[in-house]
Amino acid sequence: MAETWQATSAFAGVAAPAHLAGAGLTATVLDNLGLASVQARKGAGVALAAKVQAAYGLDLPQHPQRVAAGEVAFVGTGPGAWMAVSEAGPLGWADRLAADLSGLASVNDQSDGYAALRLEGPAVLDVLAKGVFLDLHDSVFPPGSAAGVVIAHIGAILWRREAQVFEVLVFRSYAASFWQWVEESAAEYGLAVAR
Amino acid sequence: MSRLATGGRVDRGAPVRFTFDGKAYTGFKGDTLAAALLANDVTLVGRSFKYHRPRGILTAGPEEPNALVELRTGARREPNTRATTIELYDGLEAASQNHIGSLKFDLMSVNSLFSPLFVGGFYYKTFMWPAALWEKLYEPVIRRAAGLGRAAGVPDPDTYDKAHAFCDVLVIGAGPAGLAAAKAAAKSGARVILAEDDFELGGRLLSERQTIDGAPAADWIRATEAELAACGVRVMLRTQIFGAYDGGVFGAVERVSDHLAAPGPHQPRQRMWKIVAKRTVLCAGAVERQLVFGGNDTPGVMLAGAVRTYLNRYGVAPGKRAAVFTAGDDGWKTAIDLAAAGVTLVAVVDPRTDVPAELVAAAQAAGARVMLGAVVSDARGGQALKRIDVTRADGEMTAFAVDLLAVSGGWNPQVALATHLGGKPTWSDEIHSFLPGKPPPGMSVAGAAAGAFALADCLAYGSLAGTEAAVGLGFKAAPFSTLVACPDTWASAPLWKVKSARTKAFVDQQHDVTDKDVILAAQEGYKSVEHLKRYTTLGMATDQGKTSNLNGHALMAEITGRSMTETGTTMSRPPHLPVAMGVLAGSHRGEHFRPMRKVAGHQWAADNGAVFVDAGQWKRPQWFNAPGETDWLVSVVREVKATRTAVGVCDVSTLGKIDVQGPDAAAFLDRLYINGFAKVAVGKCRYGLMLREDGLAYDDGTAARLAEDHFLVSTTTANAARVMQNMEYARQVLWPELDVQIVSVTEQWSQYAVAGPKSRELLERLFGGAVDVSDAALPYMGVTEGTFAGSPFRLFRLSFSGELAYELAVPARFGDAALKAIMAAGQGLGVTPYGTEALGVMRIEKGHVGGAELNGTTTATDLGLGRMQSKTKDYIGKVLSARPGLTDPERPAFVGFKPVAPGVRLRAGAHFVALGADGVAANDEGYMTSVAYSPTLGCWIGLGLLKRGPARIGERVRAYDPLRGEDIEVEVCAPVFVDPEGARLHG
Amino acid sequence: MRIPCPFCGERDLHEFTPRGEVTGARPDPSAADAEAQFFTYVYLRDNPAGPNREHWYHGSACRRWLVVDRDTRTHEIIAVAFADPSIGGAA
Repeated sequence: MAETWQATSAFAGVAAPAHLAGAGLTATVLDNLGLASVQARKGAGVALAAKVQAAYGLDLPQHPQRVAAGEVAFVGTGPGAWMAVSEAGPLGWADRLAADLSGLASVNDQSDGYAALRLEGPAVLDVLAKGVFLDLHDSVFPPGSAAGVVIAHIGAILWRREAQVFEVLVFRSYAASFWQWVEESAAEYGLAVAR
Repeated sequence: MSRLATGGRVDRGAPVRFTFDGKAYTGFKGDTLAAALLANDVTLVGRSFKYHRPRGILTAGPEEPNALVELRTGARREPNTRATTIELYDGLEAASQNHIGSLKFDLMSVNSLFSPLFVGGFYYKTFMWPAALWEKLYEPVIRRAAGLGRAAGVPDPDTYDKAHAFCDVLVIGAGPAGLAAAKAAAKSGARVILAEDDFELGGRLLSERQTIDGAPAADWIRATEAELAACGVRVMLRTQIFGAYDGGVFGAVERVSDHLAAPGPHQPRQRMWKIVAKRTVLCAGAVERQLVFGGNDTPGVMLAGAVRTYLNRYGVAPGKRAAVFTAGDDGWKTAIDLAAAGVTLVAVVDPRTDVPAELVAAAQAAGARVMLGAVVSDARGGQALKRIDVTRADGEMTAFAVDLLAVSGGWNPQVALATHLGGKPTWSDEIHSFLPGKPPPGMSVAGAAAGAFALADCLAYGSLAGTEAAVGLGFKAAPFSTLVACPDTWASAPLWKVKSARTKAFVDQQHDVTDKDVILAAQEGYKSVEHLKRYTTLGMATDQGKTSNLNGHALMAEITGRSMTETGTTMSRPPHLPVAMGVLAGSHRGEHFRPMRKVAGHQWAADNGAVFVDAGQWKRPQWFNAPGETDWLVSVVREVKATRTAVGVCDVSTLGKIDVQGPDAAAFLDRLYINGFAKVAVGKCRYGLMLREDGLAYDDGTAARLAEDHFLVSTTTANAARVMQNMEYARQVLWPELDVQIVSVTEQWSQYAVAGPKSRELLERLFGGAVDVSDAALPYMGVTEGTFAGSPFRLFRLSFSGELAYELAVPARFGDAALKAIMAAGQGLGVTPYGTEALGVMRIEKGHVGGAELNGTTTATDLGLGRMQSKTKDYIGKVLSARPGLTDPERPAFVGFKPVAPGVRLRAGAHFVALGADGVAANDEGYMTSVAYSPTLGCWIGLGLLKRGPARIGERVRAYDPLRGEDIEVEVCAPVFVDPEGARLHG
Repeated sequence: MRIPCPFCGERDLHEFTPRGEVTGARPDPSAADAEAQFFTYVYLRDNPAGPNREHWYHGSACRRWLVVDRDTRTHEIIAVAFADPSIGGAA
């Protein structure tokens, strides 16, 4: 048996930890999110919602929203489609979902398909306004809201956790280009990078 | 010095040093460059476009046609910036433009003597001269003689930013109407953005000596500003709205750093905004019209409203002995303000005879000679105004010595943003100008932009429009009190041209279009205003004719005997004012022009000599430079040979991977592919071809059956997104009854082709017995899944090269580690990484179709894949692929080609003609789609589409390439050049 | 142009991909005149100057195909619905 392969971050060689005093934006690389796409089988929506409630203790969102319970969150990405997020990590996450939701949904591991960042701080709305063509005002996009968006020509899934805390997923191969956008957009406010 | 002792909004405690044409001057903070130049008695600032006439400062705003200067030096040098909008900063360097020699003695001013050559239609007529001389002679000369400034010629050192903003109500313009509108909307509870081009709020109020509720207007501006801040209104100064787009979207440019010598650290120079507004109140104000009389471009002739701006806002007297020439009551205010500032008021000239008595009395009290029913026919003085000739209705002429002539032809509402979406402005006989007409949905127009010039009306209608916008969105109207403004009179009479002019009278000063050019255009039949514009270039300069268009259109109406409603005005399109190209691009410059996609193995490839090629947004290794290799073909030949004799490794992660699940997954794929998938066994893959509904082929790939209800479909790199889109269409629109779910997993998996006779040995070493890769366990077109080295994997027995080959897929986080492990396992086996070129060579050697064959014109039969087409099931494209036109046996079909003379290079794109036939279209028999130098055969080989190709194997035809002047005899052969029996794939 | 996606809300034009006029249902391939029906289905469009029913794909967000009623003269969006009739209610 060979040794265990070393995992590589989507942002390897791209986002080095750094801190600028008075940073308006703090970016945290989220390497260890468990991500899985969940799509309801035909006509299984009600049963799926009941199963998710029973298994994970949360109301499956029917709109572009993020609903969380403990380390698990479901983000509505389309009608009958979700990104299921586990902060416990990717290991076994999709398999567990597939087993729990068997016959009710199609599940795919996407933990490696996306690069994930948490963006937070007093300048987070100003930074996001440079890329997201979406009204993120508190009255329109309060915490718990989610959206599929395009940021600097890169498709992304964005959700708001708190007033000044957002998390964003982009396809993994775009990590370097997306990071460049974060750096450029945050530069005037100051940027701190954490892992 | 022409700075007044007191007054104005400039900060007299903050002197600002600057240079113009190398000479040092001082102004104050709050000045524009134009104001500071006038304060320093600099009145000659440029030369005109065509005739190189001396020009001064006509206006005090963005509509300026004349005072265009080159701002800054070196890489930041920018031509055609308007001195009237440049905020003075310490160290500012500006230079006049459009002259050879000095500004005062411009060698090109001789153009004026040749003015008959430069009349309207000049460019069109010049094209009639011998065309051969155009490029070499005329154009360079004309470009040098008639031009507007010089570009910096080196890359722009600054950065530009883009951002988005949303609001309930967007108020455009922060004059009295805009301020009132923003306040009313915000007080009603709406989210408001107030955008203002200037660097201060107030609009015309800053230029006038007006009162609101008995106090100076400045007090009201300050109080309103505080109220807006308290209501959370987003005030965007230095922000120019340049275009209106569908759905309440507006384009705007914020000049973040233009008022500084250079942007601060990490600060953009400008920021482009897309603003989305549910409602818009347009309060863009009005622009004053020039009067058309002889010498009206002489430095010292200035719009009357601009004179008041310089007096009242900047505390600068633009002259010492002044006259006013006005066709309306508003110009008389300038006379009164000039006198109040201590300027000697010589005369007030008005073509009307019914001027309000109190205006006449005030001017006379100031010592001016009042000339009613009279016009200024000519202004004289060349580089600086010295004299005006005033002609009375009876023809009697009087000359006055003056150095400043304030002119007013009336005011034009700024309606452009109300018309960008196709709304037609409507003519008003009351203000002798165009009103906005019907603005786009969600927009209202208030204040001077709507033709309501009086201050009281601006305030009242502004408040009303702001309230209505908020109420329209469901907010409850906040009460607003009526403000009492000082009285105003606005009567005017149209005066489009002074007929008694003796010297050149300019309609469009920036493009040097005279009244005679308009007459000529009419004589030559260019009577529509759009034709007039193109023929004379009236209104086509950077100022877009803001001070001049209407005079030209009214002149045309007069000449052609049509009303202004019949004559109309030219179509306005964004941008309303000049916009820097840099801000439109934002940060998307150079390598950041578009985002790039990198595979997990990118760094390893880069470290091992990969030369990358763009495949869509992906970066793929094209070949790997081994030490000492300098020619790409040498590298590619080495990679192909190593793969065919030992083992090669290719990163195929970029190929599209679509996961298809659900009870109807197999039925779904059956309808997408021409061949059947229902009978594919679990653990097996099948090659498939997809057609468009019109019967033509569009993508190919394999589908692996992972479970009864679970397939993994691969697509070409180029078509991945399109296939996904079409599959969603099929799933949601064509057959919504099918229970099938699809999702892209392209990015989840890193995938490596391991190909060559030693590929199995490599994998055996890699897995060390943990995975059985024998032919029995994993036969050709088999697939297996498992976990190894802490990572899930999928292993496919697929081959694009025609060799014994596998594809190993691992989650992308292990992509780098897996690639390194594969290469380590291949040590001693001659393992060689290969790129897309070698991949392409091997697919041509193997006769697989690629993008050049799947080019949107070929059918399955054309590609030699007709036998795959199922006869029993329906699939997309089935019916129309059977059309006579697509089943014609004469159609060019897929075959291979070899040059008859060995060593000859083949070219893709060459057309086939029969031996002995002429190389003309009538004899065309098809074309070469792909070529490669085959290391395996030691010669060039090609694939192509030849009429009845498969029936002509062994024949010879010519590959005729008139573009390259090549005519090569080739032999038609089967498209599979290597291992036609497929023995290497199996076993 | 802004299109109100029934799932995502109002979004900018650049997030969507147009496919053109909504045609009738895909013809029955076993019909006697299938070829003629498919010819009409694939090629023939009304291209009206005025309200037009079109298919748009919201590819950069919810990946739903939408039926958009749009006035081709003014770009006014009159109505938007999911193309998939099975979407609706609680999933």
